[in-house]
Amino acid sequence: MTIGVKLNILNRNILRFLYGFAYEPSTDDYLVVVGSYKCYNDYDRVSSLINLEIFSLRANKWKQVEVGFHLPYMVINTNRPSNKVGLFLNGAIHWVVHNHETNIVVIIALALKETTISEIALPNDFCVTYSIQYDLLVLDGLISAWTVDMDTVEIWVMQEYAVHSSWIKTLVFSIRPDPDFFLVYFTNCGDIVGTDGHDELVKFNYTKASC
Amino acid sequence: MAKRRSVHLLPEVITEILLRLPVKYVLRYRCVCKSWLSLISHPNFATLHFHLAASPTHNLLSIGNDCFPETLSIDFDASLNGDSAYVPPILDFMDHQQHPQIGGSCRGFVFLHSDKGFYLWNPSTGVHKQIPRSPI
Repeated sequence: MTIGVKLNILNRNILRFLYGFAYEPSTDDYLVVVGSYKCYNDYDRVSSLINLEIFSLRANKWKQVEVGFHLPYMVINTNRPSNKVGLFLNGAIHWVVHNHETNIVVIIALALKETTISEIALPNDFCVTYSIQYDLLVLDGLISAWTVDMDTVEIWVMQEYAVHSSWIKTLVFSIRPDPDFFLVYFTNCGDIVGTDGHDELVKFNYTKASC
Repeated sequence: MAKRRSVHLLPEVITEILLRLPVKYVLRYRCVCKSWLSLISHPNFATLHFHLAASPTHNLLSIGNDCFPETLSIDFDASLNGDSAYVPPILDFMDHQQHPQIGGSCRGFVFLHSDKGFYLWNPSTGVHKQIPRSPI
């Protein structure tokens, strides 16, 4: 006798993660942040809200983040990286996410001292789709958002923290032949460093000054 | 034969000099003698060194997962030529089956997540600490 077991593989939930690591000077503590949510395995449909937890190295304990409202966010999945690493700046960890209730792509900022979450709007023309690489970086101490769409790189800088009108498109350039360019760092010398998708690092200089 | 002159520096002076050197030299100088080893290994030294660092460096750390966790580190603010990639930090507490990935970095420490758990790692000294799993 055979017992048939039907496995509903297509609707299996997959856990997805947001990560962050930060230093909080007021408590002289290192904090690890892990956000998790479930989605179906086609990756673009979410089946849960984000659950955020913080680990304090000093207390050696995990704590669930209670922000008083639910967090309807997910990462728009591009080729890589599969889980999102947050940008630590101004005492907060920042991730670019899709709010699936308002259907808007925003930055969410987790302020570590206050343990609060707020949304920071991206520039109006900032376009993120499944075919576009994007993320946040620090440029001259300010939050910068970048996209790579085919062979065009766009770099925006938020001149004043959390002020939407202060976003300025600082640089647009083309790379040919179009590599699978993913930005990693802005150097002090005005270089843009990225990976080309073939285990090589590429750098572009966007100022005339050189070190 | 020329007579060798030995120079005696006060311990405080040696400390002040070591505090002003880049981290990779300081770590190498732990092998000079026992007193330098204990001086450099003291937790206060690391804190003072971090705060005094005249020009903090920015390194790209890459972990490959092809067959073993191969690491590579490059100093961004150097010229990005091949020779700026110095001795890679050794990730010897994990194997490739754990698929270690970087979840963030801050003040010289790296947060690694893997199939088997979470770790905080200092790539300069090789010291690591496993973080307990979340009970939530």
